[in-house]
Amino acid sequence: MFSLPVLLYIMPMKILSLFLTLILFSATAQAQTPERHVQLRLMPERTAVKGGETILIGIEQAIVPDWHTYWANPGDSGESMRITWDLPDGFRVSVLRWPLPERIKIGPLVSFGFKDRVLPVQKLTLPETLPDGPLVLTAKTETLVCDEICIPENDTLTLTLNDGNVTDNRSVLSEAMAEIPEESATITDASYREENGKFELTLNVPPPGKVVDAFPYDWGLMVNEGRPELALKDNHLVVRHPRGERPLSDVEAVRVLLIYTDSAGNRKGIDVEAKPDLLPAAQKKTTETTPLTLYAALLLAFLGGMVLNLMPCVFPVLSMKALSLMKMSAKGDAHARLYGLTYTAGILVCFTLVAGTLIALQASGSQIGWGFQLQNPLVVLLLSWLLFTVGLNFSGMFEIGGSFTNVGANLAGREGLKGSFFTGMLAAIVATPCTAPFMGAAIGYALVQPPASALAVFLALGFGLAFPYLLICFLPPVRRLLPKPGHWMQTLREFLAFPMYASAAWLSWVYAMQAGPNGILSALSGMILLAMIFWLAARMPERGAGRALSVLLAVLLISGLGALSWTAVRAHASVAVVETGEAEAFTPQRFDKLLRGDKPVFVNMTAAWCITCKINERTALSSHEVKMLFQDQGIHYLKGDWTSRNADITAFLARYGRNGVPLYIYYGAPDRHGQRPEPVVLPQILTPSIVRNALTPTERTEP
Amino acid sequence: MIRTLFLQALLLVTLAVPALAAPQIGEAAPDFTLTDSQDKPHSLSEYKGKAVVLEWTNPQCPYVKKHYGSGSMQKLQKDATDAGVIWLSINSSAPGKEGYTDAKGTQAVIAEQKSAETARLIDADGTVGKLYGAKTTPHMFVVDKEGRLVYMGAIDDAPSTEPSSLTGAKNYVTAALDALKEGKPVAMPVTQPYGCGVKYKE
Repeated sequence: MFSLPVLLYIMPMKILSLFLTLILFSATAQAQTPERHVQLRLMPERTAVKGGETILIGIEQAIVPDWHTYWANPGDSGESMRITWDLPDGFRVSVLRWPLPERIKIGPLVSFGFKDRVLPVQKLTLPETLPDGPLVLTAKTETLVCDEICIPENDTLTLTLNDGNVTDNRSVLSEAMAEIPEESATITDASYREENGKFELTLNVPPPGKVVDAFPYDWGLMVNEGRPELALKDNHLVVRHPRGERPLSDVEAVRVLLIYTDSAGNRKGIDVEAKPDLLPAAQKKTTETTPLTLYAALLLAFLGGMVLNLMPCVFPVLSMKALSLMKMSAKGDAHARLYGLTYTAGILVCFTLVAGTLIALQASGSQIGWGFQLQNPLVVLLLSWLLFTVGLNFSGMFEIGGSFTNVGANLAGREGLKGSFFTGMLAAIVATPCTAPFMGAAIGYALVQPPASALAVFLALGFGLAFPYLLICFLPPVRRLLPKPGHWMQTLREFLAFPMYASAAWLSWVYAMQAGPNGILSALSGMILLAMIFWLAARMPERGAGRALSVLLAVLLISGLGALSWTAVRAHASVAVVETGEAEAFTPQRFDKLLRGDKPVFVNMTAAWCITCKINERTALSSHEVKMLFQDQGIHYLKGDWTSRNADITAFLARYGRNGVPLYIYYGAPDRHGQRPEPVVLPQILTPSIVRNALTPTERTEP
Repeated sequence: MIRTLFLQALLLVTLAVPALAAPQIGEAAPDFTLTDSQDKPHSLSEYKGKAVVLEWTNPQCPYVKKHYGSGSMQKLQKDATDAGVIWLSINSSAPGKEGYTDAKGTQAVIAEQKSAETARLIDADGTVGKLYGAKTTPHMFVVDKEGRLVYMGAIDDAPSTEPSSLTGAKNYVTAALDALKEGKPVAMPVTQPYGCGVKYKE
């Protein structure tokens, strides 16, 4: 403020009025009123009222230049005006409704508030019967007014109704209301979540105009500095801004003010009341409350690898494993160990290749996951041909590297070692796309780690897969329990060809799922060609032009067919794959919509190449008991098909710290407050009773 | 790989840019060194092994005045320091702004308020205030014996300048210190700070 000498110097004319004012004040007031920065005034819509009416009351703040007061959420500092009415029984006031605030920046701090003048409004509801004569109501206010410094100013305001004076502020108040978000227009179909360090609000209904700004009513959700990013995603408005310090677990529904321009070009506000998006909470649960250490992940991966030997997924290579196991008994200790080591090496080499590719592709931004090798139709096709070839070999149609008739003697040789390496590789590539218990968490962990740690986890998994076999190779007493070699092994081998053919048939089916109906033709033609080639080769001399010619012919035919199949796949771009049955196909949009509803939701993430998934569906999810349960409880059943690449499903799996199928999640029905219980993640092996228990956890606690 | 690392590095750099950082509950509280009213330097790290309270203050702010005028802040400081807690009051007002005092002026404020903190630190360029994302006076932070941040936010649940609001108010700092003493997690680790804005330099 100016000192008196300055005033004397620059404004001689004002001196007189100043003196007059001082004299007047000393004459009328005992103590001088402190300098005021905000003048408050109650502005009723009208003063002539009747019982039972509801009228609008404006509380005008006239603020001195350059100073400001605060909005409902003051921002980094400050405080919104507090008004406390002293009301007789039967009178009610609503909360204060505020017009659109502006950002006020002081140094690095940002406040939400008003300059010059602001007119918040509240509703006063009168009781049915009013006393006769004038009605005097009082309200106490605490108003913080700041420029650089802050001054709290307290007032007692008086409202006199029915005193005979006719006051009409209706036009002022209707002008004020035009700037205040309409309560009844509040958008409630919206959700919020935390995504990559940002607060993200998504509207599920179109906004009323072009949204230009957003302000949070609740503190600490987003930082106050800067203007939120406003984007349209699938025609839905998304508001994003860096997260504030308040944990989202502290809040329920949040309110955000959106500022938009309507069709007439007016600046308007609308409130949004958003509910939490339930997925991030679950994501938090799996990734934040149970952070795995590298050692824990290695241990889990090792255990998972061992359990994988017992999963249905291993079926395709079961016969090969069984056969190699039988051969064990015929070996000397040294050979057996060597055999076990090459098998392990085969698995580890394959895991390194597969995991290395996976890590590299993920680093380059591909939305892929464990089992991705079988998401490539060409790989599936080649694998089905490979398994078919192994079957032909078992059937005795041809022998690799000489006669196989003397099984016992021959397999101790070097070819046996190559064979065990090959068996290991095949075991790894075919048997691993599904996740087993323990494995899910370990792989989920691995893929968010630096490449070296990730690879270590995958190798631990591979080692776990090889370990039981290795143990047999290294423990002569165990090996001695195996039956003695003999001619029966040849019979067994021939028998085991049939599971191999079955596996080839299964992979052809997977390929047809990915490549379309024509895929089956190319898969089967390839098999017939292969059989023919091996038949020819067996009739050719050991060496010479005929042999070379047949090999060349084989390579040409197979690669030609492969190329043909590839074009078929490309043509069959978008594939509807797994038969969904009573389930609906999973899409993020459908899932979001169902979660906002009031029915329980069951999500099944599956793939055609995941045998574990198929068996769970057959024995548990499609059982009469479970079907009835789903029907009785009105459960929405969503099925996500990961047979071919699907970024949405990969992202969903990632939210649960997973990177492979199967994944089963049950979202219970919301309670009275619209809050769903924590989602239940079911195990990788299902039985009807496991499903029933997961779906009805509360009933069991009742006496 | 290299691209990912580069992006991560870029992310770290951009995260470091905002004027106000927000420390994380459960993480190591950022270390700092400031001088007190006697020109004696204090580092947060030198108090490892003891619980530390950081109080952002500005003697001119009406909210701060509520807590000192009633003697409640002094009592809080005395109870805490008697129990072996280190209490550091920090003034981040810039020279020329409300509440700024040099070492000598700070001594006068301490004498006038009869405050009982371990030390009152001068953060005239606001570096430490911005490091902690201190927004208001008062704005309180509690650090445990291992140097981890366990509380940040308001001093109590009565955001008002009215002295009467102190009656029956729940003090969050007392609650946090009690929880530390009992070895329990702090029930409300983050609350909304209230008060005047910290008078940082522009």
